Amino acid sequence: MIQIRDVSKKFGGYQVLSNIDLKIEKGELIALLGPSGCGKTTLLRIIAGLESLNEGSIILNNINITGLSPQQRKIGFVFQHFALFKHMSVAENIAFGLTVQPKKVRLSKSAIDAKVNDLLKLIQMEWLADAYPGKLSGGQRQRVALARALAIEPSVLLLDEPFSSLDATVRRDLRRWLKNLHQKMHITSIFVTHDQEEALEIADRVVVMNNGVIEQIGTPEQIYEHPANRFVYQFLGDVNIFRGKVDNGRFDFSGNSLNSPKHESVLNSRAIGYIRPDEIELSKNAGFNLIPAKVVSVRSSGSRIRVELKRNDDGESVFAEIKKNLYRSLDINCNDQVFINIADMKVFLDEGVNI
Amino acid sequence: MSWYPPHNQKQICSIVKTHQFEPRAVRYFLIAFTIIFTLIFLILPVVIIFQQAFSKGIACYIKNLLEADTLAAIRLTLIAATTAVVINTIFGLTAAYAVTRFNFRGKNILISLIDIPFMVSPVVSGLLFVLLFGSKGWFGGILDDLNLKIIFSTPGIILATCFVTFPFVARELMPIMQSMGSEFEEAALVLGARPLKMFLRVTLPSIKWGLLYGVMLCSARAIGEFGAVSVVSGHIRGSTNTIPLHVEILYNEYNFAGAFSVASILMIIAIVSLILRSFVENKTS
Repeated sequence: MIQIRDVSKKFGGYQVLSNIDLKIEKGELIALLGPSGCGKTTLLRIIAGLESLNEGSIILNNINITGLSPQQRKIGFVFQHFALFKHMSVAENIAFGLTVQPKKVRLSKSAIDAKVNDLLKLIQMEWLADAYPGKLSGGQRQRVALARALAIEPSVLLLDEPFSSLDATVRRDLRRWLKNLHQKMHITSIFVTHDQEEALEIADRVVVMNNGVIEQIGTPEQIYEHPANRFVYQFLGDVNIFRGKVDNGRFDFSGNSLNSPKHESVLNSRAIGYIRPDEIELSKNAGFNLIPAKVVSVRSSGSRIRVELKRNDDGESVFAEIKKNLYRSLDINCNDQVFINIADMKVFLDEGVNI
Repeated sequence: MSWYPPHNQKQICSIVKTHQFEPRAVRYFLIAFTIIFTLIFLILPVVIIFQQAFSKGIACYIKNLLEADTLAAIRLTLIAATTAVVINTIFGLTAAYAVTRFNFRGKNILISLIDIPFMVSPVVSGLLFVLLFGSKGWFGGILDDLNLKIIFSTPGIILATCFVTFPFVARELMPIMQSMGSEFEEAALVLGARPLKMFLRVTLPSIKWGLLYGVMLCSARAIGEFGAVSVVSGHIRGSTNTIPLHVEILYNEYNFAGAFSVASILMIIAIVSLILRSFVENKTS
């Protein structure tokens, strides 16, 4: 179990992290998700002891490790670019954490070899034990970096943007592989990412960060279905924006009106309605609370069709994403008049959140 | 960053896109001119050195080399060069590590200061030590009281050699350590390595070819240095003469065969360095 208590960090005069509080249970897989510069990597480096903190403490398994040096913490760290030692073979890289131990506590040579072999088996790279990192593919390097971090039997595994330097297909495979590995070994893990899809797919819980503060902590489903604020909603995917105002539980925009039960006690305040392109429904027939719009363009993005529309009421652009078969049955063409259903819209008060 | 000397020979040799737009005549002229000019100005003198060295026969050549004063000069040169290389290597590693791993006030000024020996004429460097440690210099009185001799003696020659070769290792290592970054070192620390182990097992192996290259440049310059050493040496035969100074003395005495014989030692060292250099260059790139 790891506890991050009220951690703050400044670089020069710039506040990178402010009052971060986070508790991670044993065996959890946590994603730190946020845009670049939000402080997520700094937080990871602080946990590893590679960066100092100005305030707060890090508690690992009920021991305060705030003052410990990185080598005393026994924390596994996988670097963004893997940082494999180029002058050492795969096996030597994996063995590094074991061979640098002081003689008194170091394992015997045969014990180290056995452990390295186990890890090579785990990452399915036994046949590459004597290869040098320069000869490996990105995915293989990633797995070696992981095995090297696991060799010291860390109580926590930290991964800094573990998939960002890999090809799209390799990335998907490795993601699944890492998830399986985590389920098998149950080692408490924290990974940093700016890719919401990655975070939602493999994490048990996601910590959304922005500007050095935590915006929301929750399961992927909670985060996606019940975003705490506008930032979280916008960061998790494409959005359409409808500006208007809420008054007595209703959201009014450009002559339309929607129920917004959570704003029942709000009087006449500026508000913004959000809806994702895939939550919009299209039809060719007019109806209650449907907004008329004109089709501007139709583009295929693989299995889905992206339709750009222009609202009749105020001329704003709206994007909708629909399945291919629905697109065929609707028979939508450019310049067609259609009607959009925005019943799934989420409304937030316009309080000037930085995005 | 490292502008002196150019060492991207391998990159130059393997340009992928060659010009196609010059007429054939221009192309041939430029290539031929370069080759002929090099032959006349560089290769011919080298040949002449050896021709002159052997002009009175091999026996005489060997006799010239084995003369007591020559052996003393070789010995002094080796002592001065070795000391300078050791000191400058330690300094170079320290400076490169400090400059590329820490931020501190005045870092850029420090980096520029390291280059001073490149900018100053060696004769001036030599004079500087005379002004400091000579009998009429700042520390002359103290040194006299302690009965220590620096100028016109081995310590002065070592100091002058150190000074002129000061930047080589540091300058070579800085860009290498900069581009290496600190991720490897951080990885080693997180995996449990103590700082010294990290340095020996991760940092040093990563920079070893660059370090060797810097050491080689430093040695070549240390062995061949004339100006600065000439000022502090006093030219005492068999005592404060290095190889280059000894060549000059023999030459001024019209002992051409002797001068060229000793000069051939420097030439051989240069050729060996050149071969080693291209070998190390292949390793660094």
